[in-house]
Amino acid sequence: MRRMIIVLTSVMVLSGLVLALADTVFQPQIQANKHRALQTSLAAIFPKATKPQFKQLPIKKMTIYRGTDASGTLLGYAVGIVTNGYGGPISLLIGLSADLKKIVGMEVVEDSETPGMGARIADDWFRNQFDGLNPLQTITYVKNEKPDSAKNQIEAISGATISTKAVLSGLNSSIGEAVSLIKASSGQQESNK
Amino acid sequence: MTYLLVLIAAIVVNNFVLTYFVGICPFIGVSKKLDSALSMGIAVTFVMTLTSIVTWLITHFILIKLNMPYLEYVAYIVVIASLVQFVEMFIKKTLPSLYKALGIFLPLITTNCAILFVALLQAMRSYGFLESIVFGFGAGVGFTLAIVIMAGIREQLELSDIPRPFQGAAVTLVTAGVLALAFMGFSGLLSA
Amino acid sequence: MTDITIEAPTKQRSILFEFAKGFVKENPTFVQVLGMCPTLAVTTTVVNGMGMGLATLFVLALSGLVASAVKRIVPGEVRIPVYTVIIATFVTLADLFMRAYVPPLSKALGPYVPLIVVNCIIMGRIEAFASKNPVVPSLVDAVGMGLGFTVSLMVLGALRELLGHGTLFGVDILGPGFRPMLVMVLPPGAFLSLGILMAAFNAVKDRNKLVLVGG
Repeated sequence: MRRMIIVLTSVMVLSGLVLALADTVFQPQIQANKHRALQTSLAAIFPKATKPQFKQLPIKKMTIYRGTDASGTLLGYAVGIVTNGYGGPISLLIGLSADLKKIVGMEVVEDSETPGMGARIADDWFRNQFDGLNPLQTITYVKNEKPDSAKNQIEAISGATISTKAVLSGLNSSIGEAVSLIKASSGQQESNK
Repeated sequence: MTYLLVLIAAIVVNNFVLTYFVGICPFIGVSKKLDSALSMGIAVTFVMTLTSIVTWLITHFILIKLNMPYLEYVAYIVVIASLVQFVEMFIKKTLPSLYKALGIFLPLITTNCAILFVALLQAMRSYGFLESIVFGFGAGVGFTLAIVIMAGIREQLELSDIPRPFQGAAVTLVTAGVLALAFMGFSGLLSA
Repeated sequence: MTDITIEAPTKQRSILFEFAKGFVKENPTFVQVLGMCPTLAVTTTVVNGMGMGLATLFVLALSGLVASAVKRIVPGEVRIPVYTVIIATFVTLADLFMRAYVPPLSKALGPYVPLIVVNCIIMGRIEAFASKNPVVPSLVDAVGMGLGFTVSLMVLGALRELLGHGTLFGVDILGPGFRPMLVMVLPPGAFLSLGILMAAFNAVKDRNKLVLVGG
């Protein structure tokens, strides 16, 4: 009996130690991968920029990046939004123009949607619909008809309305706030000068 | 309302067996007779619901609090194995008739990928406490549904002349394929 | 006339036999019908199948090695929990490694990597072989099974990728004129492909047996 307990406990302790060690060994690379994926997504929002640099704004409530190109010109902003999709959380990056008046891009950073259906939120045609939309007006979707971008409409993915709605609900609930936060932050920076 | 969505999604839209491919071993192994299929399904549902609860607690109070996410797999499987052990002992002592009906299936459930999958998914999707209970229960019901339907079909198949190469697991898999095709019809169900 | 199978007594089976049996005679997928969950889930492409197979091989080999090495220390009653913890540890190691060095594969295999823990092949081999045999044969047995499993996954993956996408290893094989059968990479296709492949495997095995008998 005592032997059983000793063996079991030793195995568990050993396992814990091995894994703790492995974690410290592998985590740096795992974090580096995440960082690189983020950089790639951020750069994809501003494809025409040469060597864009991104700095995260010191805003606690949301993850917002300020993008500048090689010459220091302000490119715009990228807002990180997480929303609840069909198969799990969807992580998005929304690009905003420098004057905060237009959406300039949408990237899907991570999702667990169904391949061939909900996962098509990452398709070019779907993401490109967001370019030029007004970030301060609610974005709605239409099915089986041509969306009117003047009315801030996009076309839903047929057969994946839930994933579409998830993306929109994430956007609509967060973008407006992001814009205000950015304005407040740059207002502060102005007044600090 | 979300709870209802989670429930329906787990039962039919993302059926554990026919969409996620977990629980196949018992699905093939225990679906020959209708009553054993039903018993297995009930046992699985019970264990899945319990597992959801316990792994949720472990995830939130141990793994996250102590910042050791890498212990996730070891912790889950140890918990599941112990849980099933306790459940078996408990049923044996308190409800011997129930033990007679379900008991033999319980050890089989431990290495059942479906149970571990419930734990993994509720962590991956960051379900709340109540949500994860509903999810575990729904997953079990979905499993039961699939295995009972399969048993019904296989009982009929017994009476037909199956070509030799297909006998055994092969025809069960083909049947499962047709079932999976049917269940795909549910995938539009939740797009309101 | 009955089948004639010539099998040496267990003690005298060669190392080569222990290695080769995982490929045909005791193929984990088509003969033993084990490890079904990952087999169906990740064989949407050859690469995914290969990745899962190799990860499983890693866990199989190392768990078998350790289990065989500690078989005299572990009391019989706690052997299953002990083996389980060993397996889960190696699976976590494999998962961490994959997330660090092959992130796209890790993402594609997703939650099915931790499911290697409950892959019946691993516990099955430890129980049936590694716990009763010395270290080197246990390792060979595990590697043979693991490779047999990997090959089976790759065959299934090839079938599904070719018919479902028209590609193999991501390379376009069937050309632009081919209309892909999406169902092959979806659940029904998985079940159907495996069922048909299994039947084909059985048919070939049966035919070989008949040849032995009739000849």
